Amino acid sequence: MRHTAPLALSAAVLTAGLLGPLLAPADPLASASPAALRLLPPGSRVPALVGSDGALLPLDARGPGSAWRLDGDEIIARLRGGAERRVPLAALARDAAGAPRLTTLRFPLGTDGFGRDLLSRIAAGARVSLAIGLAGILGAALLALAIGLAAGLAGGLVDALLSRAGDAVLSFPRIVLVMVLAAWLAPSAGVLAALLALTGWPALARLVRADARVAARSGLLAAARAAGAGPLRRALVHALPAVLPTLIVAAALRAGSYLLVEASLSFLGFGVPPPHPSWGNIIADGREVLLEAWWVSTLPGLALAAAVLAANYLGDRARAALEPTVRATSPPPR
Amino acid sequence: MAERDTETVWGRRGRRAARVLRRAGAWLVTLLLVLVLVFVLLEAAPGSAVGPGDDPSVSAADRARLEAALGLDRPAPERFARYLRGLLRGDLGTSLSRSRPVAAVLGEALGPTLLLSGTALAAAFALGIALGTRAAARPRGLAAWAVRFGLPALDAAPPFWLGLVAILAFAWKLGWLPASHMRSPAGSGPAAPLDLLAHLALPMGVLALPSAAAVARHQWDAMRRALASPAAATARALGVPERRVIWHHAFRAALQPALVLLGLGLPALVGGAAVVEVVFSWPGLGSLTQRALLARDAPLALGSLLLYALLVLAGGALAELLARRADPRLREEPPR
Repeated sequence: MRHTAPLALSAAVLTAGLLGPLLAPADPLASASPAALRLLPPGSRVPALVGSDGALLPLDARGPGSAWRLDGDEIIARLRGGAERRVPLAALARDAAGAPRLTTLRFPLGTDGFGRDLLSRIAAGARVSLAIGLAGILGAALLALAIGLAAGLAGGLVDALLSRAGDAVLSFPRIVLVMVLAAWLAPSAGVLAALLALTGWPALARLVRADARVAARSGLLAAARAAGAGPLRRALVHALPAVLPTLIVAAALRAGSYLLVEASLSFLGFGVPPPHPSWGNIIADGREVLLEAWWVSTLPGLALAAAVLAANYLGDRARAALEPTVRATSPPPR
Repeated sequence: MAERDTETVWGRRGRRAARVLRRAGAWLVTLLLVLVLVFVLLEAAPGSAVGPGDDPSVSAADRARLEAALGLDRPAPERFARYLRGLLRGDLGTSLSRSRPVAAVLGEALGPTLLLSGTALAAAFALGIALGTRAAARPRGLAAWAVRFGLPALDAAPPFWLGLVAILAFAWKLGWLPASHMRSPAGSGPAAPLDLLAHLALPMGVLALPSAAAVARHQWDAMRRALASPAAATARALGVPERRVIWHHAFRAALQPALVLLGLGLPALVGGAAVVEVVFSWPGLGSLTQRALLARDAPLALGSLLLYALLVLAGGALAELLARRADPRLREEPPR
């Protein structure tokens, strides 16, 4: 019972991430002049005139007097960035009384170096980052299942070859290996997920293989063979239930690290290509303006850390639920 | 009697030699596998070290001449065979982007990487073991809070992000430490070691704190178990002071899992160092690999991958050695 609240919170963080773009305000700046809205601090509000075509004219509300005044059938607007511009009233959206309609642009988390709303970017990046991480860990778990079962049940040469292949991958720091592979593959979200899976399976397959070997020596599989079950049936019907709990727990505990690898890759310049946002490349973009605008790099990093913590916590609970003999402790080292 | 003893010794040595040989063989096979894989990928990828194929500022004749000079005009299998032959002689080829032997370039980067990873590893273990032990001894203290919440939170943050935040806070806002590189431009003379330490502090801390999380957690677990063990109870019953029970009796028994963790965590630490190096412009292997990849410098990229694999291997062997030293049981029955 005492775990309900954090459990719900963790699930909420991850769900909110995946649904991000639906929950966040639409990026209001598709048509506004972005240069005027560069690097606004979190909590900024900017008044803006609305064009009849829906375009936005951000006004400079600082300084004395109103940011706009009427002059005949034109409006003289003091725009953000300093310039004054005369805009015909006919080109603006107006309310019932005929006065130009004003709106307020809100940037709860500020804007980035291109004047884009950071909240929208983080929300859109959440889906990209989480989808790559989840697809990566799922792919790795499936590969590990197939390879680990084959190695553990077949033994002999098959086992030796598959285990060597796994060791080959494990003899490199993962991030370096992924970096080298990604550098030559023109990464997209799909390619990155595939790379995470291809470099992630060996650690999981070792566990599956160990469990499968235990199962292979047990009387259960011998009985199944005696009853005429073929190798595929023995693997999928008789061995699978024995290896599944360990695999699920190990995969859940590693999911967070997949998110970190994806983000690091973006930062190194081999991740999701811009302008598509991922948490990693938003942080990387913010590096160039770190001194003027701390929020661009810092806030998506916090979102990422929250997601990783949530994933780790869920993995811990999965372990407590599926492996009651093992007390829930820390996630394994990456 | 004496004869049989000698025989056992020889048998044990023989088994150990066989095990080492088997491992080395398996490792060579895996390394070859990876080299082939990376080489094929380099082949399949668009673009080359000479630049994009449709660059109008480079004439076809110049391009052909350049490719011939770099040996890029030969068929791929031939180049791979030549690379392997060179490798056997210890020749890693010539870096395409720097026109220098790869081995020399790697040699310069190895020192800074070893310095950064080594100090971070030592710091992570010292901190993790100290905090884990303290947290077990005082379940409600600051150390326990750090082990349960503080370090895991740092471990969940991406390492490069921690680096950026550290630069922002400690280098720019507070101005305590330099933000990047390994030495100041004027960093020679008697103050050079201090200068190096100042440059080392931020990247080392950023690398060490998250790595300490897993160590601390395991040490905490092991210490709690050791303090609840019959051995600790016996020591207390005999009147041994609690401080001595903690540090003398329980601590040694609890050290074992942390040492195993050393070997398991090493690849992650070396990988983390690669990213942190890029953040802090640390002139190590990670920065080198990243730039080699951006420049499509295949010999340099292959060479640094190879060196990374060697580092992981050496680290694993070292951790196993330490674990055997700490736990006599491992010496009796070596795990496969």
